Amino acid sequence: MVTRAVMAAVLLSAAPARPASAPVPREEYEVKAAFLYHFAHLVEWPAPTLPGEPFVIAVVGHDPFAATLEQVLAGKSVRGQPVHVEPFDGAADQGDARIHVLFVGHGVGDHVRQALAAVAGQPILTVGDDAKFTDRGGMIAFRITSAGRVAFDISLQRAEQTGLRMSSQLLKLARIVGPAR
Amino acid sequence: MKAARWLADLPIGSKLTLLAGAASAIALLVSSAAFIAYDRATFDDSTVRRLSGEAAIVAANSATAIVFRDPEAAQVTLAALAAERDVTSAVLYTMDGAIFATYASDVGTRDPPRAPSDAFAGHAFEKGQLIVHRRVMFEGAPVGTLVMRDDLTARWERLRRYLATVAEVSLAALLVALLAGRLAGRAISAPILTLAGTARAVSERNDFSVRAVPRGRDEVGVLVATFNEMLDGLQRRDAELRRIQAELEHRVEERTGLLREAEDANRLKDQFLATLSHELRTPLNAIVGWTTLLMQGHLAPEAATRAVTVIDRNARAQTKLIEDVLDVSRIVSGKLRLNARALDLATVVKAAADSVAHAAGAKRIRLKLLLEAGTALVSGDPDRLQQVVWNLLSNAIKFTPAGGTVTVQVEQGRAA
Repeated sequence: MVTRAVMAAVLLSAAPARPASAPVPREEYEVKAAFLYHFAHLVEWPAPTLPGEPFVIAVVGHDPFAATLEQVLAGKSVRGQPVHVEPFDGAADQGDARIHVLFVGHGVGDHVRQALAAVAGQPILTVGDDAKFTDRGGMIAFRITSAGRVAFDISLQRAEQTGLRMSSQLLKLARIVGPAR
Repeated sequence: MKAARWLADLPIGSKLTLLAGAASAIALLVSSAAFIAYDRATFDDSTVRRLSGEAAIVAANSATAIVFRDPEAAQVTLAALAAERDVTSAVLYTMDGAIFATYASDVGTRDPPRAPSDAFAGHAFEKGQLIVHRRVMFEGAPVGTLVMRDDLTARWERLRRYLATVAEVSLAALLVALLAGRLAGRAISAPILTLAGTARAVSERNDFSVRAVPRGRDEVGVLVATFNEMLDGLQRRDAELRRIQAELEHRVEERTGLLREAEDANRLKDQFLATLSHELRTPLNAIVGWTTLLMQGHLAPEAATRAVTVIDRNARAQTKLIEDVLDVSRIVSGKLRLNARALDLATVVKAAADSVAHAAGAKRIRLKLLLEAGTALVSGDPDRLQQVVWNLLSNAIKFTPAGGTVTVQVEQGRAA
């Protein structure tokens, strides 16, 4: 694993980084949408689920991803909770419902820090489309490997501080960043 | 037919050895075959179960790799199968049938296991391999299929080991059986051979006194005992036969002796008759001759007197002869009666001597009597005794040359 992680790091540094302004292919969004949905199954939230409570995924920024996400997750549910995709309104509670996942899209600039600050300490899984999202205080950051495959980094410590528990099945696929457990 | 003949000619020991060997070989073969078949079924069962469990674990650990499209992670999971020596290859297929990740210890030697058809799930034995299929599920939905191939090396290895063990054990058991058969055969055939030897001794030497030595009370022992009883009977009969034969021989000998005696007696009788006829004719010749001369009437008176004297003497002699023959006849028929009384032997001898004096004088034979009167007083028949002495004297005179001497001596001998 160590060797693999090091190799991945080497490859990543060697690969030319995609400019922030470049458009992201729709296919990649579909993959990420699916990943996001799978994350929901491999993460445990500390608070008990109330009956009829939706599984809320809040999206920060005007990102074409939000639309894709809605399409991919339409009619799906997580642990019996119907998935709701909503734009983030700046608070941990979206109206009546709690937020489970906060997705931060590309090119949102300062909004990233504001959004993360709004949910800091809360058991909300923060996922960013920026490879440096974990450096900025997020839990999971999507990145593209040198082979063009979508991969992700996880700041395990940050996630666990909020009471979220991540499945080993998820962790073994991720590159763990930040301080070690 | 040939085999039956061969079997019939085989010694009992070898038969038993063969029987023991064949029985144990068949038993071993059958039980080994049954055991191997059973073991194989059991082993296959456990192999399927083990591999299915393995597949379940690998599938569970591969699910996230598939959903997060991380073939490398799946590869690492599959690589754990290296611990399973017999799993030669494993392939993870995605739901659209594309190969997601592979593991192979037989890289290059074989094609990877086929992509599964939807209908198939579970396991199948094909071409000496075990193929196990397992759906990879993520959150209740199938996300891929795991196909594992086991080339059943362990099964063949195990079968080979079993066969080797069975062969060794069979060989050992066969040796033991052969040894046991040989021992048993010896135990059974030895008394029979002894019996056969005894029988041969009996038939070759006609010796019914030998006996087979009984060794036990089994069938052979009974046979030996019966054989000995038979020999007892034979010996008794043989002895009886010998006795009867000896008796018969003795009897034949006896009969032969009697026959010879009878023949002798017959011959003596013929001889006697011839002699008798001759003796009877001799006086008759003289009588007839002189009578003829007398009847012709040409004889001078002295000659006629002499003729009558000769005729008279010869007639008397013949009478005497006939009386003697009658006496013999009486002796033979037991009708001779002796008138025994006290008599003086000297008187008897003197009377006999007187009656032969004429004949002695004719041959100038001197009769010398050495008698002591009154010394030989015995009990007997005087006429017969006189007859005996007269016979002796007649013969003596007859066979003594002219001018000789005949001595008669009567003396008292020691009483017996």
